[in-house]
Amino acid sequence: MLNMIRMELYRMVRMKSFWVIMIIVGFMNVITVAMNDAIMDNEEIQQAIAAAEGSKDSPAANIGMNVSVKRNSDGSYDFLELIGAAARGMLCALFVGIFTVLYATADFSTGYIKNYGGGVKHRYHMVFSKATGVLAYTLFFFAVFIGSSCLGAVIAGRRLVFASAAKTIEIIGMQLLLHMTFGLVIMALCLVVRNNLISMIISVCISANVFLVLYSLIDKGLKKLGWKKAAIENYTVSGRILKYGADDAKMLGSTLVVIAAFTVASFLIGSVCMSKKDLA
Amino acid sequence: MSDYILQTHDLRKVYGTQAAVDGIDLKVERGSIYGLIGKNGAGKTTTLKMIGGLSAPTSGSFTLFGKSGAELADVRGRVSCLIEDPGLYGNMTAFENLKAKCLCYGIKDDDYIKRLLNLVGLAEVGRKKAKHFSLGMRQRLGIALAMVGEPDLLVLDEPINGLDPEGIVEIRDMLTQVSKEKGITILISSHILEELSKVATHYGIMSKGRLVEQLTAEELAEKCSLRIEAVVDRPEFASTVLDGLGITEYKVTDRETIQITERLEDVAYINRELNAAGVLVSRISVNNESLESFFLSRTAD
Repeated sequence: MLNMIRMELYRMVRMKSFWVIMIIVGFMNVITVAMNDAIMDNEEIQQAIAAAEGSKDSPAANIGMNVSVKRNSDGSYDFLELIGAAARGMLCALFVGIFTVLYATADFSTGYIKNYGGGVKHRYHMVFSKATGVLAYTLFFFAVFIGSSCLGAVIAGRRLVFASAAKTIEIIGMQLLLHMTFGLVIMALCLVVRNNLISMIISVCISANVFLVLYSLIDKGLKKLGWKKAAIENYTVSGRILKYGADDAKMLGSTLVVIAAFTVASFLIGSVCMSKKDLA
Repeated sequence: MSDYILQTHDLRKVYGTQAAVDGIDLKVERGSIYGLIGKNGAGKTTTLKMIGGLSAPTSGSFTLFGKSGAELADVRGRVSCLIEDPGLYGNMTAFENLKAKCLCYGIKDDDYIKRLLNLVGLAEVGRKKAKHFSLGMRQRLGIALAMVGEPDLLVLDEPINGLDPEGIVEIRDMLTQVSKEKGITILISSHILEELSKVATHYGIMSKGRLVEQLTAEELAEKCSLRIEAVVDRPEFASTVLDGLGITEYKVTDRETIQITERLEDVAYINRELNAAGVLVSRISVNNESLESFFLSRTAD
């Protein structure tokens, strides 16, 4: 299986989309963080953002992606806020999802899997090696994301401060784990669907929070059935990405359970699909 | 151990209600080049996919290197295949495509890749991406990919598709060479018997998902060779007449037909001698069955 992992990593770094996404994310991040000052200081834009976001009492609600980074009173950026806000805003999940779809379906869409798939002793090895690629990509993506965010802040002439190192490590670490799990879920989806267009649509819809509509419908049904506090979103990886680190609520234990459950489910579903379905 | 590297037993593959492969019993000898021939849609590719481990049979089984059932997983790595179009990463070069598979097989020697590229005539393609390859180049790279790891059984589905005449000859020679020098057994499919006949040592003819005939190259040559065919009233007596004429290469194929495969230019003389001996010859002619007509007769609807 180690050889298969080597192959997966080799082909991953040779994918054009790997570098295109990294360059886009890096460049976009530097620009947006550096330009954040202009947005924060512009009263009209702030009002427009507030109107678009809506409020609890407002009839309007924005369920799409939204990232806004707040400055400290001394003008510095809190590192946790800078990275955590983007992670919670599903921006990272969007790019992780897009790349995972391209990567996980590439050997099916090109037919390359026919070259080695038949000779593999156990097909679940293919799932593990693909998963390793997804995890490596997410780790690298986060490194680029954090690096470019910091660079953007430096270009904007802002200081970066660490309010709490322990909390920063915990939240960024958990967001990294959640995004890795999100990548695994999308990978499993690709192995089930085997169609990169459908997989991409679902992945983008989850990242853009479109699935919140579906979750709320399910919640409604569950509430009617008697589960008054039903909140499906809390049991999803995307829901945890949205909420983890947003407030001081203790979510570490339950989030780890969600991560473990989705990771195991992704491996199981992916392995079963690989074993049962024809490769070509 | 059996001389058969591969044996299928009532192998079936059904898609929906359509049986793509309908209970075939294939036997492939070690070291042979087995040509699987059939029209488009005969079930060749589906059969090869099952043997190559890409597709699971609906029913039936097969034995590979003496292993079957769950034990097949132990020998899967000894089989390599090129099925339908070569599966290539378009944004990678030929070298990189090969490198990826080599890594999967634990081969880290770049010279090995260069030797493979040389073997299939792609040594000079350099940094050209696979997406810019011609169909023939793609096919060659597909064959090189199938050769990675020195498989004991090479499964090739229509490998000469898209190749120019020169390329066909090169690939043909290469297959014969690797089969002889490395002892690789090759299972190769085609719908062109003429091409297969230049490399194959054994044949399996498929039609409508069924294996209608298996024969060796010698048997095929015999069936398709030039011969005198005489329809006579007493074939046994005619045999003694032929013996008297010194003709030994003949055989009685049914109750009234004799096939003679020597002295084809003496057809008139043989006819006269048979008549003179009192054998009633109702028809005598020199004919042969072309590979094409032989194939068509076996796969006719």
